[in-house]
Amino acid sequence: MHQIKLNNNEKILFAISLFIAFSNGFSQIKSGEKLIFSGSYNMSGILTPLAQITMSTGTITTAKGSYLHLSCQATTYSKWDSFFKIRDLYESYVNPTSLKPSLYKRNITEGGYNKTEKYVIKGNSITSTAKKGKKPETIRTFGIGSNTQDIVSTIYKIRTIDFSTMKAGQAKSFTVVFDEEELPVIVKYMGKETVSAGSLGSKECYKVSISARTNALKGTDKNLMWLTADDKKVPVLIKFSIKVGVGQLTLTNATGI
Amino acid sequence: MRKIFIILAIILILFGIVFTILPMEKFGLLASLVAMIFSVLAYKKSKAEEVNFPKYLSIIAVATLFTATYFVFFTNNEVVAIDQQFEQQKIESEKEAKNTLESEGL
Repeated sequence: MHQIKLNNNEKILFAISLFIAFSNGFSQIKSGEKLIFSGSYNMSGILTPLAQITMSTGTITTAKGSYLHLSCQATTYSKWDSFFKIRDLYESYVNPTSLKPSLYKRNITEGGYNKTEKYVIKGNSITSTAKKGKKPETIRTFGIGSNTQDIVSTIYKIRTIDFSTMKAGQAKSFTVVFDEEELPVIVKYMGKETVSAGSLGSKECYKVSISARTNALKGTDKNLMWLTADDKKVPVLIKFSIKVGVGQLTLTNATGI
Repeated sequence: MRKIFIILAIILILFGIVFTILPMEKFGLLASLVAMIFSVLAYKKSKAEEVNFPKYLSIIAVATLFTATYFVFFTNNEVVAIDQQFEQQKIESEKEAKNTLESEGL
C-alpha cells in the first residue's frame, strides 16, 4: 500500500479544494448556465405558445468581490409582439455560495406598461427605487427579515434544497420580498415523477408545489415545479395558476449545466 | 334549420379568420373546421336554387381551414426576434448594477 504524504502547502491546498468543493455543493448553482423555456398560456385546454423565458447565470466582479448574476427574462414570440409585447428582465446579484442577494433589479415592459424596481439589500434593510408607468420615481427604505430573499434568488435557492432526504408532503418556508412587500412562500415536496425535459430527454424529477399568501397565485397545489432528481436540480416544467388563467413553462434547451 | 346553419357558419368563419390573423391559429383551425361542417349541412338543407350561398361559405371555410392548418403545422410559432434595444438594455443594466454594488460598498 502506498501512503500519500502531504507537505504543509499541499495540506492547505487540499483544505482549500475541499472548501471549494463543499461550497459548490452547497450552492449547486453554476455560473454560465442557461435554461430556455417555452411559455404557454392555456386557453380552454389549448396551449398557446406566448413567450420565451430565459434563466441564465453569470459572474460579475466588483472591487470588493464577485457576485453570481442571476437573470430571468421573458420575451414574447415575434408573432405576438404586434399584439402584446413583453420584455421583462428580472435580475439578482447574489453571494455565489449562500445565494444571499445584495442587489435586485426588475425592469418590465408589458403591452406598453413599464415598471422598474431596484432593491439595494444591506443586512436587514432594503433601499428601493421604483418607477411605475408615468408616475414619478419613489425611493423608500424598509426592513426585512434576515432570511428574506428576492423572487429570482428564491427560485435558485429552491434548487439547493436536498429533496432526497424529504418525504412527500414535507415543506420548507421562504420569505420573498416582491413589490416592496414580504410574502411567506411554502415549498412542498410532492414526490417523484418522470416528465419530458426538452433537450435533456425524459427525466425523473422532484415534483414541488409552491404556494404564497398572495392574490397573484391561485389554488392549492396548482403552482408546480418539476426539478430533475439529480445534483443539478434543473427546472424542466413549471405549471402556474394565476388570476387570468393557467399556463406552463417547458424547458426547451439547457446549456452550461 | 338551414338559416341557423348559415348563421353559425358565418360566425365561425369570422372567428376562424380573426383567430388565424391573431396568433391563435389552433382556435382558427377549430372554428373553420366547424364552420365547414355547418356550411356543408346548410348546403344539404338547401333547395336547388338556394345552394350558391352555402357553397361560397364552404369555399371560404375551406380556405380558412387550409390557412390555419398551414400556420399550425408548417410554421415555427416559437421564434423570438432579435431585439437590439432589449439587448442594449441588458448590457446597460449589468453596467449600472456593477456601479451600484461598488458605490454602495457591497
